[in-house]
Amino acid sequence: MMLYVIANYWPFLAVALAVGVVVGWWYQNPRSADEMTAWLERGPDER
Amino acid sequence: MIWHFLEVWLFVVASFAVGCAIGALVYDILARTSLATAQRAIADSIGDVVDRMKDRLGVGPVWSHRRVAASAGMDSGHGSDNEYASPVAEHTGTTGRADARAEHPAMADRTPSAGPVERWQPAEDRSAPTPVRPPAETAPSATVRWALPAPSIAPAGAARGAGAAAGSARASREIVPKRPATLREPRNGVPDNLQRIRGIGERNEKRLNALGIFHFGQIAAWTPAEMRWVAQRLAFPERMERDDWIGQAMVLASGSDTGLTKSWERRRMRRLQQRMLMGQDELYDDDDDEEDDET
Repeated sequence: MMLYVIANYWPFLAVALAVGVVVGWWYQNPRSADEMTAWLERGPDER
Repeated sequence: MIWHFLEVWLFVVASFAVGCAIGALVYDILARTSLATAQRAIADSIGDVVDRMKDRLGVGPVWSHRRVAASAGMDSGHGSDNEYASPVAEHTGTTGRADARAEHPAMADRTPSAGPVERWQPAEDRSAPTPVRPPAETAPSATVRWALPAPSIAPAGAARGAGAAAGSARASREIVPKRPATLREPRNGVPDNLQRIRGIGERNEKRLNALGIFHFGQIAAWTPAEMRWVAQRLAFPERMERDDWIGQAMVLASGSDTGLTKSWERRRMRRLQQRMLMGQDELYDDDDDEEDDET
């Protein structure tokens, strides 16, 4: 079953993998990570 | 059939998760090589593109969102203004401290209805309802627009009670860019890490250093005119207002942490904990390298 899914839907899986690589790579940048989680933080203008 | 679709989606999600892990590993591995600088520059460039898209779509900045949403729906606890207010505005204008406002005369008497929409104003602010108040009420808590104005801005000429004459005199003046106090070299030869300010990357830090700006205290002391002068010489001038450099610099100059530096510290501590769990002895040897990577 697993092989069947991979064999038939590999383009989707490849795209998901590629998107994941890009997101994971970019998210490792400290600035990107902060921007992604900035809404959790109290900004300096809210002290 | 349903199970089949579920299985396919499960595979897609699993592929995405595996991709995320691979991407993160790739970044970390490259960060330890000589390609680290180029990689960070590329990642920052992508971030800049994302920021611009957010601006175009009117999605950012995040802090402004909450401020506008809070003030539209309920009392935000920061005064009755509906505008994005920076620490400068809070410290000088919205609290009604006329003496403090006098220190920044060019910032005074700017209201949402004053003249054309400012160039770097977030879309939400433009669409936010303009509060209508009697002049007598607006005088003590006048909203201070500290945002960098476009050259074509026509300041408000609205009467403001007893200070109307002085207000209109100030309002009739355009903000003329003024060179801030700069240094030939950092004090004691050690500059502050300006990249601790959200919105300052390598490029802007280099430009700021070239202009003679090395310390948080210098940025915290900028007036709107000085901000404008610096903004004209930076790679991404709109970030100065949007990311509230002056507010961040005030916090950092006082030795406190901003959300950005807290985020860095959390990541750093998390990695240290991971290393301790792995029992690596070179924990403290890598400490400096870690800092370099994060900044």
